Amino acid sequence: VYPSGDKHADAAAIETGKLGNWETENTEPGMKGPEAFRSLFSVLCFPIFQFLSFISVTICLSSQLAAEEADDAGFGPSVVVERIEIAGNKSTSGALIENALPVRVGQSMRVGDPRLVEAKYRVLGLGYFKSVETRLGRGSRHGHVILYVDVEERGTITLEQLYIGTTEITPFWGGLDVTERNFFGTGVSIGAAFVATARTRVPAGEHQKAFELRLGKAALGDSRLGLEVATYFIDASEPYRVRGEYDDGGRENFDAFSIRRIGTRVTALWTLDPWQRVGLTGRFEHVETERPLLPTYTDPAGREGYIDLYLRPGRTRVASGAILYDRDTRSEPVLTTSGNRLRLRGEVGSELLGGSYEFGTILAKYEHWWPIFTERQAVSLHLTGGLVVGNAPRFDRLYVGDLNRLLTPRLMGLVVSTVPARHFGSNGAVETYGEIGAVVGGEYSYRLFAGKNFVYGGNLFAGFGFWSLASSDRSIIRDEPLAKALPIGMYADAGLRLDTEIGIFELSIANAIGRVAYQ
Amino acid sequence: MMATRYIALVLLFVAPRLALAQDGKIVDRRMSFYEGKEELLVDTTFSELLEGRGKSVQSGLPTSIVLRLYVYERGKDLPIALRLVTIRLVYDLWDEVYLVRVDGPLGQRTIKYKDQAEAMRAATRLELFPIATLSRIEIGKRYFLAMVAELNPLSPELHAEVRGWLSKPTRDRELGMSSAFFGSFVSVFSNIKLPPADAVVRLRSQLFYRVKR
Repeated sequence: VYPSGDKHADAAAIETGKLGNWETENTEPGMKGPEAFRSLFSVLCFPIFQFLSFISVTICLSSQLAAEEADDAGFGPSVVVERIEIAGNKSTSGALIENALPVRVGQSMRVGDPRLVEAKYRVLGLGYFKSVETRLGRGSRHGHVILYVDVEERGTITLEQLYIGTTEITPFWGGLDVTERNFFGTGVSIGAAFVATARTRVPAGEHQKAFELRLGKAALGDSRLGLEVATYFIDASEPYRVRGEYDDGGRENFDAFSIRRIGTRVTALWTLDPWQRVGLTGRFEHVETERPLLPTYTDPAGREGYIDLYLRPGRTRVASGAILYDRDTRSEPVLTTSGNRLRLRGEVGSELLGGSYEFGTILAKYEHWWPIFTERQAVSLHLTGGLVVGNAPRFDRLYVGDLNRLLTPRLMGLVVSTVPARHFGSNGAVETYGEIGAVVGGEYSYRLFAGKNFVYGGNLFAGFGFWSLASSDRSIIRDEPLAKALPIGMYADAGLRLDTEIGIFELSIANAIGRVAYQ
Repeated sequence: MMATRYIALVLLFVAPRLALAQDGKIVDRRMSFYEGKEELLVDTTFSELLEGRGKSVQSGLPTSIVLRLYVYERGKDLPIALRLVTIRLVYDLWDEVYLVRVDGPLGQRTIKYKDQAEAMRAATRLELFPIATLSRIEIGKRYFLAMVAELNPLSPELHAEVRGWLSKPTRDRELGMSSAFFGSFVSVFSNIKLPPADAVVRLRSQLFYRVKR
C-alpha cells in the first residue's frame, strides 16, 4: 500500500524491545547529567507541548476527515441503479422497504456514495427485520447495476406492559399492553391495552377496567413526522380517604366513587435530528363522575371537614393541548452507560378548547449516565419535577404512587392501592394527589451479561432517591414550616433489568412491592 | 464540518483510553519499527479484520476500514501521537477488478488488484507507515503502538438515527401522562442491536525504544 522496497529508513536505528505489560510497568532506565535535565524539561514542558501538538493534530485530522467525507461520493466506479430487488419479505410490503431506501431506480452515482452504503441501515431502521443485507449485481448494460436487498423478518409484536398484582383493596389486578408495529406488513402500528381488577374492597367500591386502542405510523411517507391516534375507555372506582390517620392505609378508612372516562388522544411527533424530537398532543374526553355532593373527611379527633375530589359531579369534558420535547443522547436506550436525556412536557386545558377544566401542567425529567471504572459499570442521576396549576381534574394531578417507586403506580389511570407513602420530616399528611412533586435519585448499574439472541443483556442495579409531593395550598399558604408542608420521602431499589427482543423486564424489589402492596 | 471536528476531538481524547481499556479484546502483536528521515515507521498487518468476509467484499458495495494509530510512552495515559487512516476496498462488477484506496498521512493512493486475496491483503497491511515524528520519540524511553481497526464504522449521526428509530415508537409512553413520566413501570420498545462497526480489531505492539547512533 505504501512505498516499500527502498527501505529508506535506517532499520537498525530503533531496536524492538521485549514484550511487556505497559499498563503496569513504569520503570524507566536510569539517567544522569544531560539526560536527567532533559527529563526534567520534559516533565515541565511536555504537557503544554503535547496539548499544542494535539490541537494541531486535531485540526489536521478534522480537515482530513472532512475531505474524506466529501470524497466518499466520488469513490469507486460510476453506476446507474437499473432495478431494486427485494427478497425475504414475507409479510412486509416491498413498497414500504423501497420507500425507506435512500436510492431510487434510474439514479446515477459512484458506488462509494453514502446513500448506497446507508441503504442497509435505513431498512434496518424500520425495526421490522432481524437482518438486512445489501449488494450490487450486474445490470443489463455496462455500468448499470441491480441493488439487491435481502431481509430476514422478525416478530414485531411488542409487549409494552404486563399488569399483574394484588393489593389490600384490590385482591387481583391484571392486564396487558401489546403493539403490533408492522400491521399486515404496512408499517402501521396497532396497539391494544387493557386492565381489569377485582371489586375494590371499600364501601361503594366496584370492579375497575380500562381499555385503549392505538393506531400509528412512525413516519408518514418520506417525512420525519409520526402520527398516532388513541382512544380509551376507563371505568374507575376511585378510593378516597374519609377517616383515619394519613399513614393508615386500612381499607376501612376509604370510600370509593365512580369515574367513567372516554376519550381520544392525537399525537404528532417530529424528529428534528437523530437526538431531538418535538411533539404536539391534543386530547378530548368525556368524564362522568358519580360522587357524593359533599364528600367529607373525619380526622382522628372527630372533626369533620369537606374534601375536594378534584372532579365535578355529573358529565364534564377535558380538552387540552400539550407540547413535548425530547433530547436523547444515551449510548443505549435501555442498559445505558453514558449520555443523557431531557424530556419536557407542558399541557394546557381550557374551556376555550371545549373543556370544563382550566388547568396547566409542566413536567420535566433530566437523566445523566456516566461510565465508571470499566464500560460494564455506570452511575446515573435522575431528576424529575412536576407542577400543576388551576383546577386540574383528579387524574391529571401528580399521584403519590407515580413518584414513590415503592408504591403501586396508577394502571392506565386506575388507582388500585391505598397503601400510604413512607416518609420523614412531615406531620404525616402526605397527599395522595398533589400539584408540586419532585424526585431526585441515583443509581449504580453493572452489566452482568450481554447476549445476541432473544435476551440482549442484563444489568444489576441498585439505587436510592428522595421524593416530595405537596399541594400548592399547603405549601404556599401555610401555618406550618415548609419542611412540614413539603414532606420528603426516600426510596431504595435494587434488582435485575433484562433487555429482550420483546421489551424490558425489571425484576426489582420496588417492582415486587408495588405489585404486592399490603400495609 | 463542525461534526467532523467534534469526532476528531473525541477520537483524540477519548478513544485512546477506550482503545486500550476494553476488557480482554486487545491482541498483542509483534510489529517492526523503523526510523525514517523524520518519522517513526511501522510494518504490521491486521488481516483478521476481513477474515471470512470475501463475499461481502465482492458485493459491489464499498468496504471501509478506519484505522487509528496511537503511540504511547509506557505508563502514560495520553498518546504522544495519533494517526488516522481510512482504507476503502470495492469490487468493480463490470471491470472485475478490486480498487483499494488509502487516505492517510502519505496522501491518497488508489491501487487496482485482479485477485481478491491480494486486494484484501493490501487493505489490511501497513508497510513503512509513518506513525509519529521522531522528535517525539526520546532516546532511552519505552514506547508502544496501539492500533484500533474498525470495519465499516457507522457515523455517530447514522448510528443515533437508526438506533432512535429502533428504540422509539410513535407512541411514546414516557412523553405521555404524568404517571409514566414519573413512574417506574417503564417499558421501552427494544429491537435488534446495532453495533457501531461490523468488526473491531485492537492491537498492541511490543515495547520499543530508540538508541543513540
